[in-house]
Amino acid sequence: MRTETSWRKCLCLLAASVLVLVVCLVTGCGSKEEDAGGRTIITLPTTGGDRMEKMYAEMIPAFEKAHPDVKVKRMDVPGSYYIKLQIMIAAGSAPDLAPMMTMRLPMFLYRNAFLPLNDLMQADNEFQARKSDIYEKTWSGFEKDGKLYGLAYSQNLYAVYYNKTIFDTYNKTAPEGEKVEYPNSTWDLDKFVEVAKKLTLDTDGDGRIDQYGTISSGTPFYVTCPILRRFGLELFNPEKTKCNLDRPEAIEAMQWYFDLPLKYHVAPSPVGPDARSVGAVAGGPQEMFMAGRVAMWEAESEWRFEFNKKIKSFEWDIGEPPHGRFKAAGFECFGMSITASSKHPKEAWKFIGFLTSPEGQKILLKHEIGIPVLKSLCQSPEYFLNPKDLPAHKEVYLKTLEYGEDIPSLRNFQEVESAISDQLDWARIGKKPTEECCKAAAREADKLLEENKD
Amino acid sequence: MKPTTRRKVRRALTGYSFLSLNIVGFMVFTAIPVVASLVLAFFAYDNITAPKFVGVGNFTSLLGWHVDQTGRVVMNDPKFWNCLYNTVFMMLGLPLTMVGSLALALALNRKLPGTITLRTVYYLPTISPMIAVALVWLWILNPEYGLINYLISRLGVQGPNWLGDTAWAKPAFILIGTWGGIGGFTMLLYLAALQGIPGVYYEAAEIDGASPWKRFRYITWPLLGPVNFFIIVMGIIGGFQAFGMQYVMTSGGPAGSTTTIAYYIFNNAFSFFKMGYASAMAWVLFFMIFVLTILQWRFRRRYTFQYD
Amino acid sequence: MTRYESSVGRVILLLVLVAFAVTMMIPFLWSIATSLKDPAAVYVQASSFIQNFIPRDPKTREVSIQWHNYVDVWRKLPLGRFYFVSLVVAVVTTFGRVFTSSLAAYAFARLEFPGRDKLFLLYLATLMIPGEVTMIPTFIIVGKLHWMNSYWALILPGMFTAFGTFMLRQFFLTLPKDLEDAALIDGCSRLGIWWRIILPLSVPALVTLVIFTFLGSWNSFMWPLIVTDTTDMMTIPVGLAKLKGDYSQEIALMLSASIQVLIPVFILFVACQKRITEGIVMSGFGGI
Repeated sequence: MRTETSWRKCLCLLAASVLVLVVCLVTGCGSKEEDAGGRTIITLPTTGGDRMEKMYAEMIPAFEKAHPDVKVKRMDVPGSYYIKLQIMIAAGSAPDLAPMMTMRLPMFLYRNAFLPLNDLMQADNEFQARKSDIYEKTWSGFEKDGKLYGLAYSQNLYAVYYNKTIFDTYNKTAPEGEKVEYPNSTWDLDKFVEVAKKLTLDTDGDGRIDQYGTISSGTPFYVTCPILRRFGLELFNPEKTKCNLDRPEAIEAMQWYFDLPLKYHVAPSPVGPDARSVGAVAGGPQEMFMAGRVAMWEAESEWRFEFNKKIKSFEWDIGEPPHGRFKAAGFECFGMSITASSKHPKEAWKFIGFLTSPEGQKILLKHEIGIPVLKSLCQSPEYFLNPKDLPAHKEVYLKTLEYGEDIPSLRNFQEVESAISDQLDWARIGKKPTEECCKAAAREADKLLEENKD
Repeated sequence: MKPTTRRKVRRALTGYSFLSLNIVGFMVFTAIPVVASLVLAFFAYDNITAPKFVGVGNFTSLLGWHVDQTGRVVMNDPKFWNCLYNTVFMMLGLPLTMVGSLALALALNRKLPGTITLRTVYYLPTISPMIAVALVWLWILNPEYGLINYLISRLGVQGPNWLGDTAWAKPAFILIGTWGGIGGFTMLLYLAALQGIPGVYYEAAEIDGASPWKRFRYITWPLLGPVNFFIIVMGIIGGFQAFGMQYVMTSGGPAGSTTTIAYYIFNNAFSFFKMGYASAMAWVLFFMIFVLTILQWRFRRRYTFQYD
Repeated sequence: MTRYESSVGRVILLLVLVAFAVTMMIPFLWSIATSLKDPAAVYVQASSFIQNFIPRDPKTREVSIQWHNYVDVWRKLPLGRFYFVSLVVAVVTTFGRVFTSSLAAYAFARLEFPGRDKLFLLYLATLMIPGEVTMIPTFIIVGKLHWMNSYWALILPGMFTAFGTFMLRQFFLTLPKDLEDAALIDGCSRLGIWWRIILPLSVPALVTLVIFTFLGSWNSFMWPLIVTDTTDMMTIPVGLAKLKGDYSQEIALMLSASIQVLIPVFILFVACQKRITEGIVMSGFGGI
């Protein structure tokens, strides 16, 4: 038998839950729209750690001072930035601006996520006046069908980092004809291996190699493409319908790369009695270089800031990469795009223009973000070429800029890269012959390139 | 008629009012997104452009097969099956964890000094943030100077490159999972369950002269049946959804040998821009887990021991 | 419970347990040691196994313990704010989940109403779908409610997963019905039974759920990352991610922060685990 009290208690419970719901809905509203004082607000997602924070802390007020009618609202994304961007676009709440690396850009670009900038650029007289100071190469990563969908504000250039102390120590005890010079553009691939062999040593006499001539970092596109180019081949054909990995030159190229650890033993090997752990996400090649155990490592310029801070026990500098049949190097840009759903493209463009202006570029340089896109700054010994900021010989970057190439732009870049890597990995760890892996990789890539056609 | 209907209405009202606080939130934040993902499974969606209806296209791409140029029958998505294999392989740690946790729970159930401290220490891995655990294990498994290869080298053998070798990466994750899980939640559940077995049963058994093994086999084990069921079901669900450690430590490598099914779903959803395909995969996964759970249930029914 | 073996047996058992506990501790000793190292020294290879646990200066190789890492991380990040947000979110989520789940679980376990079993099956089914494919719909819902970058967005989705309801329902099913029947005859309402009989008898299960929920909320990364836009609303895991850039990583600082944020969870666990084995316990998880 139920009593009246139980009835009432149930009703109370129901009423309480309804009340809680209403309270939630009403009070839960997130951060209110700030009063912009009549200014247009544009949203900018920011990511990338400490230095970027400090840079934006100076950049944004400087921009707002130059353009008092615009206010920039930051959205902080400490990690998984591209995932959050997709989610925001999917939910219809995309920000106005979107920082992009040229490597990731095509996947968004081919899905019409961004606005073309050509008209906005034309209308901006101030920009037109100084447009010739920007390296034209930095535009190519953002181009599609003759239109520009973003603008680069900093470059990521490739060179060979080398451990000067290792070279000097070797030269101290080496006979006259055996001395090694620092990496430079006269080297071909055989010379590179020769020097690496000389610098792969057992330095503490325990019978195990602990110092290496070079180090390899897996098989992502930005590593394999320059190597293929040195042997005269692009990863895909120009129409991007076929992968060239099954061609003899490609197999030769990959064989050379995998031989570095497995045959010439000049790089840490992933297998065998002297196996070393390299290339995982939280333990990449940079750590071994920073520990002073690697003589040469070809990598992008962004690492120099970390090296500046963390390398205290040896000296280091950069040199030009070796050439194969051809000179080749990687190339990459950090840029900014305007999302297709933005309601304030004009104001958003103003920010992009500011980033590439001398004032903006100087702020970037001051906070150690990338390499400027302005020729005047890059070639000036006062700014970029200042030898006091390591590495001392930054003009090497300007040389690799000339023949550096970005990775091919694909609609489904990550899927293709993942499929190719999965196959090539077997050769990298020496479990399957290179030819077989390259052919399998090309097959998988061709299948996925089918989906790229439209 | 009237009294019964009134009682029924009252019962329904009571039931739903108890549910009310939970069910509205559940519907809004859990059930609706889940249903949405089911709908998405029938579309091709890249998160940026509008979804396109493809019917069962995602499911045939996932589960189907075709004949290639050489006349062989080949799965449409061999990587899916590979990931499934990886996931099941790495879930082999579950029985290990259960055995280890049970042993620990049995040991810590006695009145030994310092059990509370010990239990706390064993639980440390579970309460640490994943990034710290990942970093620590990257160091432990380092082939050159890591702890494990150091210990192995004292025995005169050279340890492998755990996370860089296709043959050893999965076992490495089994090791990590077992180490972390053995003193964790599972152990707590067993402890709680062991507490509930009345001491009289054991006393009676001892009077009858039963050995410790017999006491375990005929009293403890059957009475743990229900908690075992819960642990296995949640273990399977958890195993099929895990990929955080693999993401941080090996990025699914080498050669895709540690890519779990959840990792593959994640990649499809956010790296390959194939959210519809990922949703279809999630639902196929659901179906598999559901079938496994039903089988468990039927199997367990025969071994479950209940008081009332 | 069981009869104690001889003293020798007990001592051996204790030694084994302690040895095992020591192996569990090694990773934490390493974490603590690394958190006290100079950031540049983190990558320098140690000359022997034991050396990994001793912080040294990278150049001079003298022992140098960087206590300032523990303070630096507070200066670099608003760790206090992250702590506060994480604490509020974890406490409210835990309380809300245990409270609402125990009510719902009781309904599923003991009350009869139309659609009960089918509804429960729906609850179970949602547990088997991975979060990646439900993130976007949930995000859209939170957006439509205008809860973006707010406490509600951080708390509510986590409060209403089916796990708590499932676990508690299993537990409630094992409680003897006679107590409840007697109470009903005496005129107690269902709510009264829930409050005065069921909950006290379920302390271990409730406490386990508390630990589980608190931990899940404390360490959750992906969802808080997506729904927060400003630093002042970030939880600890999201905030700590700021120490990591694409090309930089502050391992020593991150470890020192990770160790410091373990403390509330640790305290909670120590406070709770006594209750698990000393509370009034019923027969575990019998029946379905």
